[in-house]
Amino acid sequence: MADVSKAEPSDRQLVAAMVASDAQALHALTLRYSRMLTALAMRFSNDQADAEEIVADVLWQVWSNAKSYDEQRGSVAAWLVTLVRSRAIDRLRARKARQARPGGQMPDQPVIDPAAAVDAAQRAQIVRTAVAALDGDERTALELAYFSDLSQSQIAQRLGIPLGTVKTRIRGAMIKLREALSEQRK
Amino acid sequence: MDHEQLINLLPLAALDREEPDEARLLEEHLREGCPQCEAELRAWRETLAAYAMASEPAGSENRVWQRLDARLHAEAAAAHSLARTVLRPRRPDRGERQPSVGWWRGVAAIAAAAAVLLLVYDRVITNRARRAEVRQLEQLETLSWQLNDLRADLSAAQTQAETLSKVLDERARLDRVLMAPDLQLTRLAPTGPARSAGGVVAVSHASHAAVVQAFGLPPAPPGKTYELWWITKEGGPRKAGLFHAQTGRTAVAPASMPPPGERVMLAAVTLEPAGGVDKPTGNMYLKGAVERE
Repeated sequence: MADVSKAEPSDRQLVAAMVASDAQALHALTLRYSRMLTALAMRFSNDQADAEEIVADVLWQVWSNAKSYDEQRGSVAAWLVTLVRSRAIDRLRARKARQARPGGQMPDQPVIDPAAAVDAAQRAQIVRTAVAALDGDERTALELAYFSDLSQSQIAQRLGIPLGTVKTRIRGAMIKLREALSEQRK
Repeated sequence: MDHEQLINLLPLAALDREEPDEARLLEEHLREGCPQCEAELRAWRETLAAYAMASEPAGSENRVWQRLDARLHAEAAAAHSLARTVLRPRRPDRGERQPSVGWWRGVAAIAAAAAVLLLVYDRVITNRARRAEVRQLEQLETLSWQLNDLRADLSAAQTQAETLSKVLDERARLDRVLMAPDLQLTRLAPTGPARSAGGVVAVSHASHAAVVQAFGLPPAPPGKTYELWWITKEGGPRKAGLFHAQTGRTAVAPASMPPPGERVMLAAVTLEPAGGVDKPTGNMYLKGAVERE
């Protein structure tokens, strides 16, 4: 069976191509990540149109500032995730008083890179299994820490537990996730 | 904070959820240079990226691309427009001397040189135009966000204004009753649960208005409210109004007039289910004897 993934440029190569104003690279990165990033943004906004706008804004930011990508700080995927989360939280703060709009549209097209998509799906499945295996308290603490705008102290207040326990639960959850991902790489 | 403690902070740093003093300490540490912590932080970020992207994919990459494609076209159009402006030949001013035919070779050479220069600078101009477009889009986005913030502020201000208006109405009502020549006051004293609480019920038959004022009551728990009662000799407790209490604030609320034709012995405040009840069921917080007219 042919290895389709070898034919595809890596994320870093795409970002490098964007520095040289190659719009095809932006298109490829959009096809590769936009649905996963939209799902992430929807954890904050709960509105598909809003989430897609956040993702488009972030991809445009990456296109305009591709030079600023620093591979020493992490992978392109981690960079994209950080930007989407940050922008989603900013928007959440700005729109706190506004009600989320209803509705959403059905996804209509699959990604074009099947090898990468299968890879991503397998990885996501491993993370989902690891998340499901977490202790319920740890899972809640991690979800609140990642998918909300709450500080540690606010999480402690929300859950009615000491601050130290919040730190322990979040850290415990993250260690287990990291171990699960390390197992996958072996 | 020792190195081990700093390492323990790294998962929270990757989440951007450290407390401010922790963030400061970690930032200083990383600035000083610590390859171990940098590598750890990076690994935690990758873990979180995997966690973040574990949800079922959503949305449509085509719709996202349409948005981006529209921006790319706008960018290209802006660059093209700018380039055309720069490349457009200058029209001679009225009365300006036209070059003679004999100079055509010189003019052609200058034009060719200018064209070469313009081609060389075309990339620079395009990049500038692109940056200008990006700046404009960012400014537009910032303005859009500011507009949303202002709308939210306006909505909050309207709510606040409505609340203030209501408070002022109640205060005016209280003043009207308090200024009435036939003012009748019933002082309410605590009966147990809130020992520092108190209040007064003011009634004016001439103004046909009654107001209850209470202080020191704890906020009612969710699903509960305070209810005022007139207790008459003939009919027992009669509903007289509902009110809410806020910590550190005096509650002022309109009350029903005492039932006509009945002899009112007492005024009392109890804690009842939200919406009130026909007969008191909860703890009594305040009570006062009504003086006979």
